[in-house]
Amino acid sequence: MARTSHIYQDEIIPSPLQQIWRNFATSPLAMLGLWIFAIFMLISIFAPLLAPYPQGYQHSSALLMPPSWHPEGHVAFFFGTDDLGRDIFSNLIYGTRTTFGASILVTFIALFFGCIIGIFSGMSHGLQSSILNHILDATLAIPSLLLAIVFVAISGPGITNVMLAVGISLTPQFMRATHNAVHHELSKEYVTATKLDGANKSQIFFHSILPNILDALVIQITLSISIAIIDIATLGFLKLGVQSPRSEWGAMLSEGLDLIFLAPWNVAMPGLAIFCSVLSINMIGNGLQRALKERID
Amino acid sequence: MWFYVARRFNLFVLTLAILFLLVFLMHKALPGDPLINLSGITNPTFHQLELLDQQYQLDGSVINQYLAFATERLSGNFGLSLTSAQPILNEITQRLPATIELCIYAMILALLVGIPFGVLAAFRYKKMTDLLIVSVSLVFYSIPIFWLGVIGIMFLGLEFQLLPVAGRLNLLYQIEPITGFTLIDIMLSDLTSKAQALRDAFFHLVMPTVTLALFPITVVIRITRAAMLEELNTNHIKAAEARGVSPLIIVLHHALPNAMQPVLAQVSLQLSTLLTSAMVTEVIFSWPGIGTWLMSAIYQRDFPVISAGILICAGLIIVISIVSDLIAIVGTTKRRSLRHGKN
Repeated sequence: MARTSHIYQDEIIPSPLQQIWRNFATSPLAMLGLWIFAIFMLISIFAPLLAPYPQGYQHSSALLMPPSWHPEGHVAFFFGTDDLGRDIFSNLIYGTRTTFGASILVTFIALFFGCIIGIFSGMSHGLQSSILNHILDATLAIPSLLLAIVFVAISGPGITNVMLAVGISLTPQFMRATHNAVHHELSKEYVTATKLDGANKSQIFFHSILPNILDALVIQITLSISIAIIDIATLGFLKLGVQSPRSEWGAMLSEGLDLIFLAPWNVAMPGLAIFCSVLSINMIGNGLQRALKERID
Repeated sequence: MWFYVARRFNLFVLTLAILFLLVFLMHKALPGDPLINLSGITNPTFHQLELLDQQYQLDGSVINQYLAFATERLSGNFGLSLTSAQPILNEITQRLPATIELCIYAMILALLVGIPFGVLAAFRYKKMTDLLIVSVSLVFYSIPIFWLGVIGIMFLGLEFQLLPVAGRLNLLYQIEPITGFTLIDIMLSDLTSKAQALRDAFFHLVMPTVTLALFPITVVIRITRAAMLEELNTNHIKAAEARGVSPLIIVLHHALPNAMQPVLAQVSLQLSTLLTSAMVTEVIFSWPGIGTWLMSAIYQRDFPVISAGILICAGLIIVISIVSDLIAIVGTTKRRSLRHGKN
């Protein structure tokens, strides 16, 4: 008796999420991206514990110290110091919070609001859908970074305003992605079948559509995090972003610009940090897209 | 067919109305005297004040104010700049060609480089070449544009002194702006050393254009690769393969023309990204375009200029996307029927 039930248990069909994970894990590049992403995540959570010096602390005896692998460098300042004697390594670690951590937070806030509006506009039809669609098109026509820049220009710089600005500028993209995904699913036959079975709108949405648009949303999330990092850093670079003493990668880069001849590490290190974080997220996104495609094939 | 054109036109008008509404709401949220922010006249005389009140109808209801605002802006009255006290429209006509010039060259470069590499990657799908192209494009996709510009200035401009780092043209050459496009202006001018001026203008263009183009190049590669892969899987390609048509002809003659349709449609969606990247590029390379103008306005809190800048940039994107949409609809019957579910 027991044996027969075992036979059925032996063959477990992996759930869609498991299938995606298995496909995802076969790509070394995608896994590398995931690991780098996890490290950045840990750094941004435990920043005060990891940083050797407090944020913005000025070592007046060690100005413009080169990185530790340079003959004149010192291991106490791993990535060197800037013109005010601030340790670049500590600043980068704190900057992970403002650039990387904030962008993830902002993406999820934008996801929440964008999804709700996108679902409403996607599920509606007729005049209501048409009006929402036009509003979407208009907000999408304004470049997201321009919107963020203008928002910060009006409300003043600072971490909260930067996050709000980037969040507002990311929301239309989520609205559009959700709207399109919902609309696409609605026209499929299995949805018509559930409709004929007498399912109401919320049943159709939660049981038929939501599980099938999750993959589109996940891809949009990875895309948005990388856009958010670049946007926050660009705002910082244009001196509109997070203000000192709070450190931020883009702002560090623009401060280092004046000293680019004397101390190129002031520009290279923050740029490298932005590049690595964005690259890791893009590698994850690429891997996810490939995994989803292979599951459907 | 005219039905679709009318629909697009309808969409265009509504989108523009919503854009004006957003900018109008922004004006409402601005600090300071609303009349100064709208008109840019800092110390209006009594007579001017009366005139402005009538123009912008600030005493009227919100709807009247909005309509008055939209009519003023649509008739070309963007007010004065708070810093230079010049009519904003004049400044826009001076600045906009420089930005458009940069964007056009970058877009052409992106298409010229992106499409061949995308086709090559799709043709060698899952082979070494494909992997290499995809990974390199992923790396360039992740580089922040301002970092790239700074590295370019540091190495090509300062270390090896190969290329100029700022501006559009050496000050030695006095070129009358006729069209606003440097290359065309030099051609039209009666300069004795045209060839040298052209050379100089070209060298000034190289770094900003390449910096701006790198991101679109990677996007074009991805889109072309995806579209070509889809196209190479269709039955008519398999039929051609079975008939023994050479792979080169299959790719160039049978697959590429069909794959270009989605590529061009998606590229027009990239315009808003291109314009914001152009703004950052302009700031880095001191390119006298609309981006530097807008950024300096933001630093100086010049609100009339900021609102005009948003209207112009977003309006430009709306117009271009509608026009490219129309061209696509007129060009292909397939798209027309797809849109409305009639086969």
